Amino acid sequence: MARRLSRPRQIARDLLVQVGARTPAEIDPIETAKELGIEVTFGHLSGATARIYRIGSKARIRVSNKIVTVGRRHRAIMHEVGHYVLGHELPEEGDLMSWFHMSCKRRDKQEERDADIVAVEHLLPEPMVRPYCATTPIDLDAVKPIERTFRTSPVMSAIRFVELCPHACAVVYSNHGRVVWMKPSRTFPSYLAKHAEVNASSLAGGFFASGTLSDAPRPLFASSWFPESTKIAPSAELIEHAAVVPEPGWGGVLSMLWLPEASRANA
Amino acid sequence: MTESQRDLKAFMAIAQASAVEEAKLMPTTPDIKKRAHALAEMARDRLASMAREERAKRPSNVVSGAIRAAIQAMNPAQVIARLSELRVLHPGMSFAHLDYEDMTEEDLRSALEDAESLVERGD
Repeated sequence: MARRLSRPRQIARDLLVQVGARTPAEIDPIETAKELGIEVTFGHLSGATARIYRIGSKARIRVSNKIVTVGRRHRAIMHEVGHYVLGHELPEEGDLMSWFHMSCKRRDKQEERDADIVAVEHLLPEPMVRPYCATTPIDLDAVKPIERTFRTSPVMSAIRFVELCPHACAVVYSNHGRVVWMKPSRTFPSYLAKHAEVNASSLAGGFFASGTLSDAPRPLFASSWFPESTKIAPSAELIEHAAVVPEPGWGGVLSMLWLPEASRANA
Repeated sequence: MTESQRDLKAFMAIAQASAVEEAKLMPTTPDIKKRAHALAEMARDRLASMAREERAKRPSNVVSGAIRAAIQAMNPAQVIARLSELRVLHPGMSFAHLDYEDMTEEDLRSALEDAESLVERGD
């Protein structure tokens, strides 16, 4: 029996049917916006990635012209479409300045997460992406076919890869020597807390110490990333492949971590 | 939903009801399942193709992001005053940002440009 999807995922899938996207090449958030009657413009916007303006059912999404990669543009448009189709309320009332202030604030965290789910499920639908995620060896090169096929950003593609990967892997984004976030696969046995210090013996840690980063995957001891884990032996082999994220607003290191032994044990 | 989509949906509903009645009287074999799946996939492909073709007939939704000269010439107080006027005229007007950091003077002008363009746009 087919499992029931959450509301944002179901809406994202229904939108694929509505726009007639049956293959990755047919997924285009600008076309999805068109189907919904939403205008899209690329232009001046320096204090945010994107903005949606609405008057009743009419809407316009402005994407900052600072965002130059197709993948990030797609994500920004689809995230805003996500808010639109989820019916998230925007501030309409209050005096001008409080209305203005509310419109500039970051939205409710749950609404942000739900709009992200719509974006991910629409741009990288599970049934289409899953076949790309069972591969080994696991490194950032394993994610590239997803980036190319679905025209999504390296970060979004890597997160989707580990979400759907049956093997023990994780993607970590770190900046200024600290973990910003980590997304583990379902079978990855440990977790890194936000703000945890990145060990200098890891590739990412080496970059923060020296400013240089190897572009090849490298085997390390698991203790390089998980020195205090009770679930991963310190001497277990861990493969790290890392790259700097050059996009505006990023600049940190994206690391793909893979535990081959744990993957074999789970197989 | 377009007219052709509605027609196809009605046709599919009738065909499905008829097929369900027929299926009650005959055993389902792997071959029948395979053929039914192929038929359903073909119908989905056709519907998807029709949706794309119908949308392709409509004008592009990608519009210029340029800020008109009249707005470029306004100072921030004038932009806010005009936004305030528009808000009174269109009480449902609203906007929100992704990854908001700050609102520069140019961002304020592009906000007014987007608001004016939406007001000018027909339904």
